[in-house]
Amino acid sequence: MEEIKEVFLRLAREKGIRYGELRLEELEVTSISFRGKELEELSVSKSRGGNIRILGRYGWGFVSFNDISHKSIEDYFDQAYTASNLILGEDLEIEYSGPVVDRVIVPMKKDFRGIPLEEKKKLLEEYNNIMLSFSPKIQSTQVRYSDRFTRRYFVNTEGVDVVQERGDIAGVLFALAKEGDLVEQYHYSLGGIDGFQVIEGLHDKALHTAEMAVRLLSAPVVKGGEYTVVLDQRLAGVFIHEAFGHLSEADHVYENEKLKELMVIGKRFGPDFLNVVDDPTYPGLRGSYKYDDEGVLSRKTYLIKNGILSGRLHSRETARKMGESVTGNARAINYRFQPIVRMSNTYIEPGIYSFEDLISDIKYGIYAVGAYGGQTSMEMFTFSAQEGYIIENGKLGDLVRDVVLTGNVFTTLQNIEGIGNDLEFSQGGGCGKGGQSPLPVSTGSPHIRIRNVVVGGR
Amino acid sequence: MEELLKRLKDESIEGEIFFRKGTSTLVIFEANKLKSIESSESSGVGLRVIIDNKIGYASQYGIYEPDWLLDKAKATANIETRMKLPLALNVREEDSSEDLNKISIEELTELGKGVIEKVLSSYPEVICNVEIGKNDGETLILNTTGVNCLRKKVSLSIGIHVNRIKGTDMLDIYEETTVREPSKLDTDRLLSKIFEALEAGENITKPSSTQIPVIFTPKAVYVLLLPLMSALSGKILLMGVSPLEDKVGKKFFDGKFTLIDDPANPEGLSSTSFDDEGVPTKVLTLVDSGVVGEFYFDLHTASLLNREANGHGFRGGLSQPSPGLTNLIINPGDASIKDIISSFDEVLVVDQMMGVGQGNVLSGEFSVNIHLGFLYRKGEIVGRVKDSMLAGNAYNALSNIYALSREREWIEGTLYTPYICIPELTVVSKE
Repeated sequence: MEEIKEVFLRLAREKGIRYGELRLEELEVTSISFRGKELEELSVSKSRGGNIRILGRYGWGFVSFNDISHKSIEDYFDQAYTASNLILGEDLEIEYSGPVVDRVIVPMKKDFRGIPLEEKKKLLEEYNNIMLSFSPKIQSTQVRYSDRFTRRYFVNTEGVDVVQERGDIAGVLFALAKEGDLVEQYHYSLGGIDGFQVIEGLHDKALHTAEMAVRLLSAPVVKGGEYTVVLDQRLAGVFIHEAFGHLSEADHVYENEKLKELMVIGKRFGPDFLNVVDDPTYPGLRGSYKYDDEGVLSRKTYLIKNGILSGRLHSRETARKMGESVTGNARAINYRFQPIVRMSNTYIEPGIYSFEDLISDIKYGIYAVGAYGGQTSMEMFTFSAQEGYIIENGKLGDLVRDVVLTGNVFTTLQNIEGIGNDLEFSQGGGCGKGGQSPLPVSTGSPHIRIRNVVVGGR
Repeated sequence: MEELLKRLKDESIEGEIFFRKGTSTLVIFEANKLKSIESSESSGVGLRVIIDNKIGYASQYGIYEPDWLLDKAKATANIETRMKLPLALNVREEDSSEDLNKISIEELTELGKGVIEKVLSSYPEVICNVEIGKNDGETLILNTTGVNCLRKKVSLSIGIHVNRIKGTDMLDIYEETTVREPSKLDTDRLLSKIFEALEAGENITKPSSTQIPVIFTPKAVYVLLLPLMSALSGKILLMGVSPLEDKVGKKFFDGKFTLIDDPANPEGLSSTSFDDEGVPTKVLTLVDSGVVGEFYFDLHTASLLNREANGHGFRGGLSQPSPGLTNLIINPGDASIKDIISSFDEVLVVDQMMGVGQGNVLSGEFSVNIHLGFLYRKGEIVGRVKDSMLAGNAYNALSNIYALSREREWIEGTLYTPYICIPELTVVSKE
């Protein structure tokens, strides 16, 4: 790899390019899954690939490839260089971050590369058996697991030379219960970057997953309407990721004058007690990293402080265009893609309330728990819960299902009425943007309470 | 590849080699300007072995180490199966790439510029993002029973996204098309839809009732199809959770509804005479005038169910085969979309949604945000519906269809569908 880097830097000097990057990546993946009682997948894969990105006067030329050799790099460099010169228009400037040489290894307590396939399979089989034998109503299950070890090399023309290594585990426990024609499901997402131990000892989670799938069989579909809702930590994390996180990504804003006016720093978006953070430096989470895919050192960014818009997430290009500092949020899911502005670990800081405080004075509302996912169009967003409970006169009541919530960024955040003191992070989340999915991110939040949330339903 | 195949034969191991490579070019316009030009080259190999009725699998992108592949495939051979590799088949299937290769990057950028100029000349206040891509992909399947199948496919696609902000209201419109023959790329059709939405999107309105008739545009039809696509998969059948298992041969859906998976369709992007396991593909009648028809299988899944494979084993990248669909075709109705809309005092036409596929898809329940939807009264458009959720059950909806339009459109090159009108669904809007 060293030799390839030198070829790239030599070519960059010879052509006198303004700015260019070379990213190389080596990846090894083990995948194991069960479907029902059958082992469905046990496989290993290995890949190597890279890309070159060159900044022309007016735009970017980008080439990705699998063939990494002395000779091929010269061809790919030419392709990227030629492409960058085909773009005409307005001058494009970027922010520079200065030279750095570093090697970052995320330590794993229990390195999954040293664990035999058989042992991994056995553990997953235990979880699968717990779910399958929970009740005759459990019709089927899925257990999916993959571990991936990645080594990423990054060099650029301003003297950044960084190698980053990490292991990442992602998976899910999934139970399906059936009664007559009705099939209900429940899942638990698992994952982490600090070793195999993150998926050990999840036997109670497997049991809970099966139990919830069965319980949902007898739960009615939620009735659509506007409700005061309390979100648990997992769903509130997805909520803040969708409701505000994406709008904080400067690439949505930097070329859009009208959106810039709406997203001006200092504007109020929520109550005084709302603080929202994106922090890739938070240790041990799936969205954590030291350098982003433009070789910029990552840092903590307050998106909302005391209810006021106080920052946003940047790439080198968006930071320059908006006259703000780089934040180290340019990420790519792999070498096939250009880095774009992405979140890392996004969370709501804890407040003062206990869960009981949050629900105690709700006459009629919904407690929404767990997350299937969410989506946003910037202004409007949706997020869906795995289960819901009716709150009546401050007490949790009946279980309901198919709880999908929607909101509007300009009103829903203002409607947050209370923030709990019980911050938790979720692992196992993947984010999609611009065709790049799933990017490892984490979301976090305490319990939160919001009024006037539209819940879909029949 | 031939050498690896020879080694399998020498060691008397049943096995299959899957080879994939591709090149693509993408020009990206951001905020009305050309921002970047991308190209990509990729190649990889997957090796599947069957040893003592157990499957093992290993794959590599960007490296080709026959020893490693063979060792790892053997070491992972744990998955019990009854599958046999398919009979010998020797096919070379090639899209002509001549026309596509002739298109230069300069022509792609000119095409994008032209689209943006047309949008801005009528609507100077909007922001337009355009991506145009051309793809050239090759798939080769070789196995020890004599399959030697090659497929080369090309495509050209364009996606146009238009954003307009007024006050705090954001209007987003997205249109795309993907074609196999460059001459069939019709950007004017996409633009006329975008202009229509920009025109009608000025006024925001709300339905007068929560229970109203709803028309799904071709782009929106997936929300109704996802549960069926899932329920008819051999994998779901194997799990014993398909709501359609005991409905086969019975009239479960509306008699107007016919859904076919057609790998032989000449326009469909997924057309092929063999699947990714080298099994000849079959046209599947999934729903025939409301009667539930066939499930779709790969070899392994079919073997576990004692069913016959029907040429629907497909792979994403280098992953192992699993049941997959090709080109979904829905039969049209008799009435024009204009007449269907005019037949109601009030009807919601839904075009874009958020939250599709989130939740318990198999149950058919859906609850989605109306990202782009228009309300019509007596055939006249009255405005856009937003901050609202649309909910229903896809099985119930498709069991009671008011009408399908006679007009049909291709969506993402793999779904050819009319507009579908459901007589009543629930819409909840913000007070």
